[in-house]
Amino acid sequence: MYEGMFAETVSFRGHKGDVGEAYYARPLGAGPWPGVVLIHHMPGWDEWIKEATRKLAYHGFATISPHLYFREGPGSPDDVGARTRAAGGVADEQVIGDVAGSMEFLRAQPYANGKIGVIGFCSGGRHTYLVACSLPGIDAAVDCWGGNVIVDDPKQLNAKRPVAPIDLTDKLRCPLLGLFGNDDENPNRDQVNRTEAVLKKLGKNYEFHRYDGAGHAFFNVMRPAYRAEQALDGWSKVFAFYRKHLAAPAAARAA
Amino acid sequence: MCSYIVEKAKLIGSAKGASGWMRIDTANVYYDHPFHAPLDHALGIDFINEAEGARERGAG
Repeated sequence: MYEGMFAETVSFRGHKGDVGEAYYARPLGAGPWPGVVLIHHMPGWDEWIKEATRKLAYHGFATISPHLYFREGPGSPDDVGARTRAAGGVADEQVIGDVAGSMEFLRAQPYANGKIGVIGFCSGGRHTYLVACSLPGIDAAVDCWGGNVIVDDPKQLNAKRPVAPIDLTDKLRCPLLGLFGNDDENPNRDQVNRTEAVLKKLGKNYEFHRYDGAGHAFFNVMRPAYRAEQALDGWSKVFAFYRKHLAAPAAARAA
Repeated sequence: MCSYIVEKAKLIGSAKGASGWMRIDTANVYYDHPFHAPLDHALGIDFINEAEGARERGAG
């Protein structure tokens, strides 16, 4: 069996039509392939994020990871990440626009099967929750340890992040998979439980998995936080979830 | 952790960045996930010249 992929940096049109860079990896072959938008973590658009993008392509998903901090460039991802941190991060409205643009990129590919998933890690997990409540056309969302979905201190809300994503849960329009380490402090166990309670109360289609012996970022092979056993299980849950929800062509959308 | 929290300290001095020595007027200090150090959290101190646009930093 021949396995191959194509992975490179591409341009995408994001919020307000701004053109930025993204890392895009897709399986070689006629497809059709489902698409995935991968939202990077707070430190930035780094090597591990690109590795995760390729991992999804290996498993059959045409995956684009937009560089959410590109407007603070040019420069290396760590310098750009530092500038972005110093500027107080990126605005939710801008992230939503950049993810929408990334979804359009996926839809435009001739081998797209019409289904789109979103996955995010860390602040990307929070962004995943946010876009799943804000954007139409997402068929499955995966929130990996996204902190600040629940905001206990209202003073943390600001012009860039004016609303706690939990308050948008009634607008969640797709199945949601959440993966969390029980030793994580942001989100902590109580916050994950409270998020689940809201999803349950609103009758949303979700599944949450919590891992003992794991904290924040336990998928990240480049950090001491990496936990092999939990990460292997977590990834298998991601792929099973995506195969279930992204496999069929979107016949309704094509009509 | 996983935050954009940065403490800024005004100072006078010089630091060496990617383009060489530069005058600096600010230190951005944060405790968060590091980019290079093999740690979950680390103290980061970036020396920048905010008055000149802060495009470059002496990173630590």
